[in-house]
Amino acid sequence: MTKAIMAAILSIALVSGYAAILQPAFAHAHTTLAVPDGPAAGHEIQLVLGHTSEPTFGAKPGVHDGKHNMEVRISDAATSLPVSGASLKADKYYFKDIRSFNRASSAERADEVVKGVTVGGVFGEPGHYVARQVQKEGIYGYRVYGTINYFGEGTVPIDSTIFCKSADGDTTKFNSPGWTGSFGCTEDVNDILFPKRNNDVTRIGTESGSAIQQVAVGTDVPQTGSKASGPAYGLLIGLPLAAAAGVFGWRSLKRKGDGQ
Amino acid sequence: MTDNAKHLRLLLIAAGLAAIGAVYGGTVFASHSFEAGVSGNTIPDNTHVRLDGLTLPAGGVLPLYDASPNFVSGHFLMRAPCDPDTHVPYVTVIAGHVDESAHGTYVDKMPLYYILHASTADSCVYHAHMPDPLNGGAPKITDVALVNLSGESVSFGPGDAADINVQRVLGSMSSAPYDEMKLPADLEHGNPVFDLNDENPDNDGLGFVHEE
Repeated sequence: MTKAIMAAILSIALVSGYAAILQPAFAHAHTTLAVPDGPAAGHEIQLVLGHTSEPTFGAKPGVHDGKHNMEVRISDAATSLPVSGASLKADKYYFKDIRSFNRASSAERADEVVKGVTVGGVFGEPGHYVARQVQKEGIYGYRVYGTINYFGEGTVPIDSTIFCKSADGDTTKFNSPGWTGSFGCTEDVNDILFPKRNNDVTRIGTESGSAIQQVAVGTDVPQTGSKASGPAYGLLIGLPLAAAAGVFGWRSLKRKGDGQ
Repeated sequence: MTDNAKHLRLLLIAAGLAAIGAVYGGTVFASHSFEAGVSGNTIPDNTHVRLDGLTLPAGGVLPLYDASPNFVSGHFLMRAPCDPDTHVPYVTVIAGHVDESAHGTYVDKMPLYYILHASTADSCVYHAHMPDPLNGGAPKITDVALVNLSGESVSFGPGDAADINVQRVLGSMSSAPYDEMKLPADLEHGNPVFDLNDENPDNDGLGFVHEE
């Protein structure tokens, strides 16, 4: 009985602990843009670009979902007030590795290019814009273009390209001027295994359709409200409780039956 | 009822409770179930200061709010004695960051919107945005205070009050300090006052959408 309760408590603690881990890190690139004309001419906005939930890892079934959205945060440079009302699109570039990147003469020669992706505002989070995606290990870059409405008193155009920063080599050759810092390139989740040899993880990766894949690690950080919401979280909390209740009842019945 | 039936009922109740827990996923129903609660991680903060009966001597300072080290976004409301013609308050509302070090201090006069339809003859009602990115004032606000720069004592009347509502933390002075200094003593009497309700469109300030 005590073991069942301990197991339930441990399950809840693990789920809660995991929820606490899902905090947005901020290894992002940023650039500053000035309102070109109008009553607010000269005021500056800051545009920050990166991926949700840095560092980023490629998808690996049963281990990591690879869901790292491309995200943009826009704020007034002087006050840090969020700036909503931007109309943004992105061209997305993917190189599989640094050799492929180095061979390319332009971003358009990337291993994969997607153009005109809408970078939409996140409901309830002014100044926060995302384009959803599931990533693979490699080098990601984005050209962001569109307009930003500065509190109704000016329009700021943007057309700028930034690539992730790789530990394998310089990835800045296609970057537009004006960017400071960068976001990390996407790594193989196996790189952070500890211990390095983990047969359980290796097995998960090869057993497609296994039940454990259904609880793959989620990394989609942008969300409003409490993290303790949604049917998936409810199930994660509820199932251990239900298991504990079942064990309790079953053992109670069994003990009674043995007594008779 | 047999013992087995009792245990079975207990089991069903426990399973039912667990199922409810699973469905509602941590939502707690208490006597506050009609309250929407906060969205995100910031608790809105409201500070109300009654001013009636107070007299602020010339050069006097009345601190109203301090969120240091965080600079915040919110709304300011004040009812206070004012000039009947210009509607400029006799006390000056300042905001910014007052640091232990003068070199880390930056305060400026808060741009105020005069609210004609809530004011009386000798007492004006004002609203202000904290911060106001379009009309000036300190861009990063941790502190709000009233200072009397008029050169004469100012006495507040019945109903006079200041109210500060903070909705969001924008950052921390520890990571984004001011790189220039401006002290209360550097300021002169008189807040900028905008009025959306008079016939003069030139004193509406920026950010107001005129309906055609």
